[in-house]
Amino acid sequence: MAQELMKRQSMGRGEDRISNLPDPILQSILCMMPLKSAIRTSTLSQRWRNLWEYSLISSAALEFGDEFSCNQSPKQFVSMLNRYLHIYESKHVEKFRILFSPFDLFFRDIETWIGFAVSKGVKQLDIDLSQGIVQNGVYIDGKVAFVLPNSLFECNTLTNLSLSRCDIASPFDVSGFRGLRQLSLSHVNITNDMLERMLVDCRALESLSIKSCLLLSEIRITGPELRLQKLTIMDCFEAYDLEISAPKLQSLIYYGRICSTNEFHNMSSLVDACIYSIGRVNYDLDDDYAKWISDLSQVKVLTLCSVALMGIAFADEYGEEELPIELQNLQELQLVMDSLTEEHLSYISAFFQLCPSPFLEKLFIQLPGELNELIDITYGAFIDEDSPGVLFNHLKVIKVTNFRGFVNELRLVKFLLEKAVVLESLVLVTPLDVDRNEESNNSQSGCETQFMKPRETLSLKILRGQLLLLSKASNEARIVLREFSEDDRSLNPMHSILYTENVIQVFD
Amino acid sequence: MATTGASDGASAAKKEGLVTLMSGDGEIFEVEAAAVAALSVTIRHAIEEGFGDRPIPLPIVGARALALAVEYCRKHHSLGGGAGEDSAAYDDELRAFDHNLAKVDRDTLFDLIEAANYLEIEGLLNLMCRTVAEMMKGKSVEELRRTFDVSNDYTPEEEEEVRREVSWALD
Repeated sequence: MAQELMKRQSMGRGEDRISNLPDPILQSILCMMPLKSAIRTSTLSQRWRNLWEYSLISSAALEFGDEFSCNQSPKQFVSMLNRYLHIYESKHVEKFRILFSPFDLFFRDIETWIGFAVSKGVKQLDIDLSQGIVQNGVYIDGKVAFVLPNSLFECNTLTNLSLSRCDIASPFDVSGFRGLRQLSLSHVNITNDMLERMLVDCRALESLSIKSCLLLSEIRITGPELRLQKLTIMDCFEAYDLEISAPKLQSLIYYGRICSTNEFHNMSSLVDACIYSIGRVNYDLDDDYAKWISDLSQVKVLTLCSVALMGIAFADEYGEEELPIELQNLQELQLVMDSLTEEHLSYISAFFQLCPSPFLEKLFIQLPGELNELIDITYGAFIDEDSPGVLFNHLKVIKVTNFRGFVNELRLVKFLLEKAVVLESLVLVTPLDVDRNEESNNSQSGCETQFMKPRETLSLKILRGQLLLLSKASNEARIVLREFSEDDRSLNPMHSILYTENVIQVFD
Repeated sequence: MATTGASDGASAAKKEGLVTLMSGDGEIFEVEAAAVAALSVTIRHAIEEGFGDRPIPLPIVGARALALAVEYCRKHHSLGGGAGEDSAAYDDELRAFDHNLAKVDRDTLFDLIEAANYLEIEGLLNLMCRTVAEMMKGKSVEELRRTFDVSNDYTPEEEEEVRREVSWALD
């Protein structure tokens, strides 16, 4: 033995020691890495051929998401997944997720996978068949939607269910979903009646997300027994009536058209709200933003977009009775601007006049990320930006992102600095593309330079100098100008909004 | 070796509470029985079987790995009471010790895995396996072969077939 040991030690470098480890050790090493890395080792040598299978067998989470689907044809996807499920031996599956872009050819397989997950007592199920060509929130690739098998609705172990681009066959029965706590539906053919049934049957539901469910003509989230704490409604643009009566609701995220009739009752638990309309919808004079704000006026955290600010300003002009609306509890406000014209400046100052927030502590302003979003809206009620009535008595932190140093942006900053008497810091973050623009300045093509205001090419140094000249109501206020790459992510709003190419994502 | 209490002969004078270990290459270690017995199942059994007075032979553990394993046992016995990584007693000092230990060269790493496996020191085995897993994950097949000198016994056809099967996992 000892000699053998000496011999092996003397062999030193170049020896394949890892392959000589016993199976259980190699298996536990493979279990400590992502399945993808583990599977990759099967190409090392015969020794490694099937070692990774143990990782799959012993795992309680089967997730076949982006990585798994993006490097395979649908046919490969199906045959690999079928093979993996065949060698899977555990009695239980905690989590099962597939991201798959199917053709109707494979519908039977998807049914089998769902049946498999259900038979293993799955708790978290995520069926995402959403890949496809979308235009204005509607699929235009002509693919037939997958119809969910009945076995799914018999699954009483589910706590989290996420469905994307699947259809539900009617009649449907969700009485088995008594333990369901989180439900997310995106591009699902759910109707008004189905939604109502779900809210009655899924008694434990705490979080509900409805996205792009275009068969909904009204959205009623009501019921005395409702435990719902978090509600997300996005892009359900066929729904013109909205009614929410949810005594436990703490968080509301709404993206889309402001419904012509909306009723909010029993919203006393609401803490944060995000109301966002930029992108899909144009402002309509009937849109009653003032009523929305009034109904949600008890929130501590609020995100509004520039369309809402414009709505409030217009409502005032038309003599809306609800105004002014005091936001007594508001501590954090985020304004997402799709543009910053003269009018937009006036909407901002009007908002602070019409919706005074005496205890506001944090203010986030997201300026337009792309220059071509600049639209000049010439009508609108101009309110003097001096706004004598506005004063921020508790505002400590302001963060403005996508700051380029345009005249209007500096005016906005000047306005805020003059009103925030106890301000501690003002953080300005340049957009991701500013550095790049500066570098490629000499090789700018003519059409691009049309968008470039002279000020944008100013270096940060000059901009810093300009900022130092602004007068401040709070002597303590520090002004920090940062490049995008140096942004301190710990200072971010509760609702983070990503708006790119007509796709909006809201996280919190 | 001074720090691990190694001495030159098997006949070294017995002190109270010490146990003598003999590495596969013949080195003798005198260590606190309580510390190693708490962490190593193999040594605990050996002591229970009455090896207390004689050196315990550890034929497949080299002196260098044994020294490190003993150091691991001492440290974890005195600081964490033998607690594993999940325990609350696993504090910053232990974490730093483990972190440093995991920086050994590749050969020592495998010596330690084999030693921990033989001595049944679960925490040390886990620590070293995790270290290997960290080194492996995200690496391409070619990088893995280079890093660990894996000898490939696939025929080109076989390798091609396996690669095709797991193509999704290859980049």
